[in-house]
Amino acid sequence: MLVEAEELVKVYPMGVRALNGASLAIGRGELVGIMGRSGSGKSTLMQILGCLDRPTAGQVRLDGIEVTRLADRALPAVRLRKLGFVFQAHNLIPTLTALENVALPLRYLRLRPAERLARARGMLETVGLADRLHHLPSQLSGGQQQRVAIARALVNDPALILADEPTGALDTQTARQLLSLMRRLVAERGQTFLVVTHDPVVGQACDRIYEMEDGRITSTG
Amino acid sequence: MEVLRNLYRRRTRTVLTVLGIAVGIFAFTVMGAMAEKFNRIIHGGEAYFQRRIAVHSTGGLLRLNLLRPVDIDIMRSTPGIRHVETQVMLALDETAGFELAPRFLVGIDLPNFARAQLLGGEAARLHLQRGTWWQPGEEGVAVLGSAVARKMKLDVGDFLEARGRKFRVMGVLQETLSLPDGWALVPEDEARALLLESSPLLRALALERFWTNAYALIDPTDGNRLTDQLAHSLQRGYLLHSPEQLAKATDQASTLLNTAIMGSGAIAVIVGALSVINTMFIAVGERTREIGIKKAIGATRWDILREFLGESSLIGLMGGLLGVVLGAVLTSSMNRWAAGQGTPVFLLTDRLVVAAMGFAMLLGALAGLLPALRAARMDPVQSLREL
Repeated sequence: MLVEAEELVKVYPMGVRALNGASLAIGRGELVGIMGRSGSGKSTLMQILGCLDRPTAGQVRLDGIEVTRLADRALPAVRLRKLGFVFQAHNLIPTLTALENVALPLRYLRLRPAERLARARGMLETVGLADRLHHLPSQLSGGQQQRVAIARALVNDPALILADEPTGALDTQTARQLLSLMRRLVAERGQTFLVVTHDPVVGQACDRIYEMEDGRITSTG
Repeated sequence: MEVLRNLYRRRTRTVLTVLGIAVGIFAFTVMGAMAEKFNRIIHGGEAYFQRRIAVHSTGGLLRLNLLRPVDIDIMRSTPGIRHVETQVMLALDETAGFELAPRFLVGIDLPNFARAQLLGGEAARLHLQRGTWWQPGEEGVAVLGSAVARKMKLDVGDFLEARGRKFRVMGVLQETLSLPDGWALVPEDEARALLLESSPLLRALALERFWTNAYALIDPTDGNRLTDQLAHSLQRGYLLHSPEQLAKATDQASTLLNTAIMGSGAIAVIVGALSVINTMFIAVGERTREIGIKKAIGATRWDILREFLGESSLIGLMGGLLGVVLGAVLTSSMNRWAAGQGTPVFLLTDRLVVAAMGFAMLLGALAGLLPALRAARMDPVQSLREL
């Protein structure tokens, strides 16, 4: 398994239990969805799987590494080398062009500028934006911005891409195009996606769905 | 590039912040150039007195401030004193009022002066920029310091009119940026005659030979010993300054002056730095989500810290550059004006330019440190909640 989470508990300082023993497993090359109502704990689960936050109890193994045991200072390297992120909106750095946004993780990997830009260009071609390399985010449509975000998430060749409501700010037609891009990446590259959503259209595009309620996984479909 | 674009994105704020630093660095540069000029004058004097014991009469009876041949003989016969340089010094123009670089007629005996030049050390030597020295015995001749030549618009072949006499200009000295720039060197006998003409008392005393200043030329290491010895052997009524005492006094004066002038310039820069802190805190607040995204995709604390420090340092650098350029424009135009009055007031040295630029950048970086640390320590989860 690429991702194994066991009995995750997250209690916030005010005593709110966002996760209450959630467990899941994701294999390589899967497009897995997490669905649930607002406040069910799905965003907290994604933050913990994305090494942005730590669980109060339980453990997460990602690509063979038990990330919950790692020191705080080791987590940026895990995010950089093993993970990619796509958020609902405002994903991109507004002062950087599409090409520079995609190349950003490679800068943190300390690659040389020429290599960064070459790889970023290739990734933008993969998501169908070869003609928008030098556009700023404000010059791109919502769908194009999300494709740039996917290209950026892909560029460091991560084991897992975490997408939090990636279609939340898109119209239905554009959302379908984005989902079809994600499906193509799963099929052609064996890319693994974990998508947090409450959009049934997204749910239909997933290989499997985890339903969440009150911080627990209640069903798998 | 990203740093530049971030600054451009908030260009009005950036321009205002850069101006804040620029005003401070401008003040620092102008005041620093003034301090450098005074330092050069002070250290020029220090170099001049490195191998000299200055002997001044405190006046005694009638407060005439003069040295007589008997005093010079005592100095000359003291073992360890290699030569005694004598001068008759008087104001070149008594009607001139306050002058930034006071002008003096300095009467010298050419062979006596030449020997003092030889023994006084290279740092204290006066060089001709153009023209020649006069020959011993020549009368009505002068060699001018650079500031006198410039202020009175005189050159070789022209006539210097001073205290009712005319002196043909034989030569002009190289600029020393120190006191000799304000001197007009003339034959000693003529300076003495002018002094006598202006003083009925001196005429009544029927003094034939006297001087206003005398300098004992010595080896620098002998300064204190010979000063003590001269203090004993000369009659009362003389003030002696050893090279060590003068060096100490000039160092103290220089330190005090530098602290006062540069300190007030530094305060102006620090006020500018406060505007950088403010601007950078606003920038961090506005870019919270950006910071969250960057952290999510793998940026370390150091990556974020470096980015914001880069921006504040660049603001400092731009402010420094603008401030130094404005300072250079003002000091050079003030100098052009002051040159007509005698001596430039400002001296913009390389080390001052480097110090001003370095200071601006360092303050920019320091001012950016707190906001940058706040950005670097942001929790990515909290940051990503910002829209």
